[in-house]
Amino acid sequence: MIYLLHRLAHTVVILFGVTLLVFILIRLSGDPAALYLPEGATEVQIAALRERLGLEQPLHVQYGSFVSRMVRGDFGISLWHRRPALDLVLERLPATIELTLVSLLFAMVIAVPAGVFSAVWRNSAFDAAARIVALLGLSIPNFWLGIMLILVFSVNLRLLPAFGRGDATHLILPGIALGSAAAGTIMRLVRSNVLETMHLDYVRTARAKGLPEYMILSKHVLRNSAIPALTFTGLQLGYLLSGSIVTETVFGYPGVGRLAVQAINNRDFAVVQAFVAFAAIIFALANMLVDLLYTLLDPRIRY
Amino acid sequence: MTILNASAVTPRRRRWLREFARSRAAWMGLALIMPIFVATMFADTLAPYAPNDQRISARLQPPGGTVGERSYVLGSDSLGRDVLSRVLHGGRISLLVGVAAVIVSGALGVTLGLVSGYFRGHVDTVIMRIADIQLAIPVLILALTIMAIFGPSLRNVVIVLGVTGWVPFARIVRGEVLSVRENEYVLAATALGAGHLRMMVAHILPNVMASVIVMASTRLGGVIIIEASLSFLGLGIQPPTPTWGNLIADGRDLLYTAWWVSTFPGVMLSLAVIGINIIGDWLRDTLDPRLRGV
Repeated sequence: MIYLLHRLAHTVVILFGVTLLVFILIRLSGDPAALYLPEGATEVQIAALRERLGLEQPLHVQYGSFVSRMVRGDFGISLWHRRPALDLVLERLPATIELTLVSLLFAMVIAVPAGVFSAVWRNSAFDAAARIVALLGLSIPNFWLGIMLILVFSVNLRLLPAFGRGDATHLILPGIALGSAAAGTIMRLVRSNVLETMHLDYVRTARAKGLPEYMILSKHVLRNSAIPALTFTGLQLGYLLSGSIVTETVFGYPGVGRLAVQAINNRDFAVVQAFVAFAAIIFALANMLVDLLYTLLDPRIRY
Repeated sequence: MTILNASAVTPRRRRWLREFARSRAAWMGLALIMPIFVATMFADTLAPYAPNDQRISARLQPPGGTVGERSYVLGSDSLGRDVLSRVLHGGRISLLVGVAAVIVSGALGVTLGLVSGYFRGHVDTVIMRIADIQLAIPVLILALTIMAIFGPSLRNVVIVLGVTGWVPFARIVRGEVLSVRENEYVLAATALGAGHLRMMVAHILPNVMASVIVMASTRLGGVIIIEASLSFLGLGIQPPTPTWGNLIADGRDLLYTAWWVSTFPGVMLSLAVIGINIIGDWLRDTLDPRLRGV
């Protein structure tokens, strides 16, 4: 319980740091009043707007009101869409969550069995092939992989849709493009953990008492190699969110990532702000959740 | 006994080279990255044409196509520029930006990690909290935001990728310094009157360099991909300067008519990153097995 509170406090500190960083970045981007007003606005108009936006107050007061507005979910109005930035992000969030989950699912379904069997059949042809595929997944940039998938499966074979969002088939190509790097990382991690666990004494004991190999694998080895893999999956969420920016752009997928790229290109900083804050919150919560899941997988860990 | 002595007097560097010569993986990585490195660094002499030389009459030539006396081995793009020449020239920029960015983040991270681990206490707490905060924002998002604010240019890309990449270096160096500074020779140096700076640079730094080199080699591939992603999204190095990311972006809208424009720069980019990652993995396993899985 004390640990939980400590962890929560840590997360809050991090999120405050993130708001400070965002605040500084937005301030560096220039005078917000100039962005709101059309070109050729008079000095008086600018001064009036600065007054109204609270830009004449000392910086720490501005930061205070910035944070308090953020906590209440007010990230400002999008200059481009003329709507609250939070609404825009929330509208597109389900699409991104859907894509992220599909890619994570793809990564896990491929990587966990591949990692386990790679370790069990160490130095076999399967192991070599799986390790090469993992290296490719890690090394091929997801945006280019996405383009190549479109080229093969949409342009040439005409099997799958290349753009937009619709039925489940729209998720296949972007899901693979986005999940391939995660798959490579998770496969390597599972493999090295299973290799490590397989040589521990208790596994030998289990084998000595005549437990069938599949029982040893599923009950003893997998469970204990799951923890580091789980941490990484938590961390992967952050990378997947990053990846969603490029992947959504490649596939014209209407998610938060694409919204963020458009906002950055349009210098629509209210939306950028909301997006960065959201990314940080999701990332921080995912990491916290992973820490808490540990206790379920390994009863020895008690906080 | 003699064998033991022989290996004990073998200079560290030579042993390292011998291990390299013996490793199949290391050779494979080298075989991938060296030709790409040489071809891109000597792009000026090797590329058949200037990268920005446009010939509208020769636009969208397929690989192997010829127009007049010019032949396009890897095809031409929508402005009639030679894809091979652009891939070579673009590779030089992509690779150099990657290396420069890793050097910047290495210098920054090593300095902060040294200071953090050496002084401990409040300094350590502050630096590590800043690291946590930066880690809470995915690098690409942070880099994109900063690029949008300061404007895309080659110098800014190096700075942004350098500054956003310091955390892993700082963390690994800090951890090492915490254990290295407990050694007796550090105590001896203190007794001999070594100041903080001398202590950090002359006595502690050499002992953490192996980890730094391993970290740099494992980061390089990722940084090259982030640079390519920034360029692809239009917030990196600006066209017409060719970079692998820019070239892939150029071909994105031509998929239905000219597949080669995106494909070849991507193949080169992927091969380069694969080669770099193989060498990075090998270095990690050889020099610093503790870093496995980082």
